[in-house]
Amino acid sequence: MSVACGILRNDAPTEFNIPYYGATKTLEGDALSTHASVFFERQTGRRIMRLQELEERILALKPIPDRRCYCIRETSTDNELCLRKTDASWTVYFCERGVRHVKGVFDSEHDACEYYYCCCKKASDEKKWH
Amino acid sequence: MTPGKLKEKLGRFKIPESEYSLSGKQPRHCLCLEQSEVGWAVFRCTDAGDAKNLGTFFHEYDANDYLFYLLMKKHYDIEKRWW
Repeated sequence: MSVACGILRNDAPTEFNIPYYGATKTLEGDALSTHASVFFERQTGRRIMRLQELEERILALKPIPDRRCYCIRETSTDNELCLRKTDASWTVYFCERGVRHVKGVFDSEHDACEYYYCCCKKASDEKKWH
Repeated sequence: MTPGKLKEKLGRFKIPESEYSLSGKQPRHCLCLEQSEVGWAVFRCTDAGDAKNLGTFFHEYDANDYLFYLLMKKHYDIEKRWW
Protein backbone atom coordinates (compact mmCIF):
# COMPACT_ATOMS: atom_id res chain seq x y z
CA MET A 1 0.00 0.00 0.00
CA SER A 2 2.97 2.25 0.43
CA VAL A 3 3.33 2.56 -3.34
CA ALA A 4 -0.27 3.63 -3.71
CA CYS A 5 0.21 6.21 -1.04
CA GLY A 6 3.49 7.23 -2.57
CA ILE A 7 1.97 8.85 -5.62
CA LEU A 8 -0.28 10.96 -3.47
CA ARG A 9 2.15 12.32 -0.94
CA ASN A 10 5.03 14.74 -1.00
CA ASP A 11 7.22 12.31 0.90
CA ALA A 12 6.82 9.67 -1.80
CA PRO A 13 9.78 7.32 -2.29
CA THR A 14 11.86 8.07 -5.35
CA GLU A 15 12.48 4.37 -5.97
CA PHE A 16 10.83 1.12 -5.02
CA ASN A 17 11.83 -2.55 -5.12
CA ILE A 18 9.40 -5.10 -6.58
CA PRO A 19 9.66 -8.90 -6.96
CA TYR A 20 11.03 -9.69 -10.42
CA TYR A 21 11.61 -13.27 -11.61
CA GLY A 22 12.89 -14.52 -8.29
CA ALA A 23 14.98 -11.43 -7.66
CA THR A 24 14.07 -7.80 -7.06
CA LYS A 25 13.94 -4.93 -9.48
CA THR A 26 14.23 -1.28 -8.59
CA LEU A 27 11.65 1.02 -10.12
CA GLU A 28 12.25 4.75 -10.35
CA GLY A 29 11.13 7.72 -12.38
CA ASP A 30 8.35 7.04 -14.91
CA ALA A 31 8.43 3.28 -14.30
CA LEU A 32 7.72 3.81 -10.61
CA SER A 33 4.99 6.29 -11.41
CA THR A 34 3.27 3.92 -13.85
CA HIS A 35 3.54 0.96 -11.48
CA ALA A 36 2.12 3.01 -8.62
CA SER A 37 -0.75 4.27 -10.75
CA VAL A 38 -1.81 0.79 -11.83
CA PHE A 39 -1.56 -0.47 -8.25
CA PHE A 40 -3.57 2.48 -6.93
CA GLU A 41 -6.29 2.03 -9.56
CA ARG A 42 -6.65 -1.67 -8.77
CA GLN A 43 -6.80 -1.05 -5.04
CA THR A 44 -9.19 1.87 -5.01
CA GLY A 45 -11.15 1.66 -8.25
CA ARG A 46 -10.31 5.32 -8.89
CA ARG A 47 -8.79 6.19 -12.23
CA ILE A 48 -5.62 8.18 -12.65
CA MET A 49 -5.81 10.71 -15.47
CA ARG A 50 -2.66 11.23 -17.49
CA LEU A 51 -1.74 13.59 -20.32
CA GLN A 52 -2.79 11.11 -23.01
CA GLU A 53 -6.30 10.76 -21.59
CA LEU A 54 -6.54 14.49 -20.97
CA GLU A 55 -5.78 15.18 -24.61
CA GLU A 56 -8.43 12.68 -25.74
CA ARG A 57 -11.02 14.23 -23.44
CA ILE A 58 -10.24 17.74 -24.69
CA LEU A 59 -10.60 16.62 -28.31
CA ALA A 60 -13.96 15.06 -27.40
CA LEU A 61 -15.34 18.37 -26.17
CA LYS A 62 -18.12 20.02 -28.13
CA PRO A 63 -17.59 22.57 -29.46
CA ILE A 64 -14.08 21.34 -30.15
CA PRO A 65 -11.66 23.84 -28.69
CA ASP A 66 -9.44 25.82 -30.98
CA ARG A 67 -6.11 24.01 -31.12
CA ARG A 68 -4.34 27.33 -30.55
CA CYS A 69 -5.98 27.75 -27.15
CA TYR A 70 -4.50 24.87 -25.23
CA CYS A 71 -1.00 23.53 -24.90
CA ILE A 72 -0.12 20.32 -23.11
CA ARG A 73 3.08 19.07 -24.60
CA GLU A 74 4.66 21.63 -26.91
CA THR A 75 6.41 24.87 -26.11
CA SER A 76 3.81 27.43 -25.25
CA THR A 77 3.14 30.42 -27.46
CA ASP A 78 0.78 33.31 -26.94
CA ASN A 79 -2.70 33.13 -25.40
CA GLU A 80 -2.59 29.49 -24.42
CA LEU A 81 -3.56 27.61 -21.31
CA CYS A 82 -0.53 25.46 -20.56
CA LEU A 83 0.25 22.42 -18.46
CA ARG A 84 3.86 21.74 -17.53
CA LYS A 85 5.78 19.46 -15.20
CA THR A 86 8.32 21.29 -13.11
CA ASP A 87 10.86 19.81 -10.71
CA ALA A 88 8.55 18.40 -8.07
CA SER A 89 5.12 19.52 -9.19
CA TRP A 90 2.79 20.26 -12.08
CA THR A 91 1.78 23.78 -13.06
CA VAL A 92 -1.18 25.12 -15.02
CA TYR A 93 -0.66 28.63 -16.34
CA PHE A 94 -1.93 31.00 -18.95
CA CYS A 95 0.67 32.34 -21.32
CA GLU A 96 0.02 35.87 -22.56
CA ARG A 97 2.55 37.91 -24.52
CA GLY A 98 5.32 35.71 -23.22
CA VAL A 99 4.32 36.22 -19.59
CA ARG A 100 3.23 33.21 -17.52
CA HIS A 101 0.22 33.78 -15.29
CA VAL A 102 0.19 30.77 -12.97
CA LYS A 103 -3.29 29.53 -12.12
CA GLY A 104 -2.51 26.49 -10.02
CA VAL A 105 0.24 24.19 -8.76
CA PHE A 106 -0.36 20.47 -8.19
CA ASP A 107 1.45 17.58 -6.55
CA SER A 108 0.41 14.99 -9.11
CA GLU A 109 -0.15 14.67 -12.84
CA HIS A 110 -3.68 13.46 -12.17
CA ASP A 111 -4.69 16.55 -10.18
CA ALA A 112 -3.13 18.87 -12.75
CA CYS A 113 -4.93 17.08 -15.60
CA GLU A 114 -8.20 17.22 -13.67
CA TYR A 115 -7.93 20.98 -13.18
CA TYR A 116 -6.84 21.54 -16.77
CA TYR A 117 -9.88 19.63 -17.99
CA CYS A 118 -12.05 21.64 -15.62
CA CYS A 119 -10.82 24.85 -17.29
CA CYS A 120 -11.28 23.47 -20.80
CA LYS A 121 -14.75 22.10 -20.11
CA LYS A 122 -15.92 25.37 -18.63
CA ALA A 123 -14.49 27.40 -21.50
CA SER A 124 -15.93 25.04 -24.09
CA ASP A 125 -19.44 25.09 -22.67
CA GLU A 126 -19.38 28.83 -22.26
CA LYS A 127 -17.95 29.07 -25.81
CA LYS A 128 -15.46 31.45 -24.33
CA TRP A 129 -12.00 30.33 -25.25
CA HIS A 130 -9.37 32.77 -24.13
CA MET B 1 -16.39 32.34 -9.41
CA THR B 2 -16.85 34.54 -6.40
CA PRO B 3 -17.29 33.01 -2.90
CA GLY B 4 -20.88 34.24 -2.85
CA LYS B 5 -21.61 32.70 -6.22
CA LEU B 6 -20.02 29.42 -5.11
CA LYS B 7 -22.25 29.18 -2.03
CA GLU B 8 -25.32 30.07 -4.04
CA LYS B 9 -24.60 27.45 -6.71
CA LEU B 10 -23.78 24.70 -4.21
CA GLY B 11 -27.10 25.40 -2.55
CA ARG B 12 -28.98 25.55 -5.84
CA PHE B 13 -27.62 22.16 -6.92
CA LYS B 14 -28.30 20.69 -3.48
CA ILE B 15 -24.75 19.60 -2.74
CA PRO B 16 -24.81 18.33 0.89
CA GLU B 17 -22.95 20.68 3.22
CA SER B 18 -21.33 17.64 4.83
CA GLU B 19 -19.34 17.08 1.63
CA TYR B 20 -17.42 20.35 1.73
CA SER B 21 -15.95 23.03 3.93
CA LEU B 22 -15.24 26.60 2.85
CA SER B 23 -13.53 27.36 6.14
CA GLY B 24 -10.54 25.03 6.19
CA LYS B 25 -9.77 21.61 7.61
CA GLN B 26 -12.50 19.45 9.10
CA PRO B 27 -12.34 16.15 11.04
CA ARG B 28 -14.47 14.33 8.49
CA HIS B 29 -14.28 13.10 4.91
CA CYS B 30 -14.90 16.18 2.75
CA LEU B 31 -13.41 18.61 0.25
CA CYS B 32 -12.02 21.77 1.80
CA LEU B 33 -10.98 25.25 0.77
CA GLU B 34 -8.55 27.31 2.79
CA GLN B 35 -6.43 30.40 2.34
CA SER B 36 -2.74 29.57 2.59
CA GLU B 37 0.45 31.61 2.67
CA VAL B 38 0.81 31.59 -1.10
CA GLY B 39 -2.81 31.57 -2.16
CA TRP B 40 -5.76 29.24 -1.83
CA ALA B 41 -5.58 25.50 -1.23
CA VAL B 42 -8.13 22.86 -2.19
CA PHE B 43 -7.65 19.61 -0.32
CA ARG B 44 -9.43 16.45 0.77
CA CYS B 45 -9.85 15.68 4.46
CA THR B 46 -10.37 12.17 5.78
CA ASP B 47 -12.15 10.85 8.84
CA ALA B 48 -8.72 10.13 10.33
CA GLY B 49 -7.88 13.81 10.22
CA ASP B 50 -5.45 13.59 7.30
CA ALA B 51 -5.44 16.08 4.47
CA LYS B 52 -4.41 15.46 0.86
CA ASN B 53 -3.58 18.52 -1.19
CA LEU B 54 -5.47 18.66 -4.50
CA GLY B 55 -4.11 21.98 -5.73
CA THR B 56 -2.81 25.40 -4.73
CA PHE B 57 -4.20 28.42 -6.53
CA PHE B 58 -3.07 32.02 -6.65
CA HIS B 59 -6.55 33.45 -7.11
CA GLU B 60 -9.55 32.66 -4.97
CA TYR B 61 -11.81 32.53 -8.02
CA ASP B 62 -9.78 29.69 -9.56
CA ALA B 63 -9.85 27.72 -6.30
CA ASN B 64 -13.61 28.20 -6.07
CA ASP B 65 -14.06 27.02 -9.66
CA TYR B 66 -12.07 23.85 -8.99
CA LEU B 67 -13.82 23.03 -5.72
CA PHE B 68 -17.16 23.47 -7.44
CA TYR B 69 -16.07 21.22 -10.31
CA LEU B 70 -14.90 18.46 -7.95
CA LEU B 71 -18.12 18.53 -5.96
CA MET B 72 -20.39 18.68 -8.97
CA LYS B 73 -18.76 15.81 -10.83
CA LYS B 74 -19.66 13.51 -7.96
CA HIS B 75 -23.34 14.21 -8.46
CA TYR B 76 -23.81 15.21 -12.10
CA ASP B 77 -22.52 14.15 -15.50
CA ILE B 78 -19.63 16.47 -16.26
CA GLU B 79 -19.51 15.38 -19.89
CA LYS B 80 -22.97 16.79 -20.63
CA ARG B 81 -22.50 20.43 -19.71
CA TRP B 82 -20.91 22.94 -17.39
CA TRP B 83 -23.21 24.24 -14.77
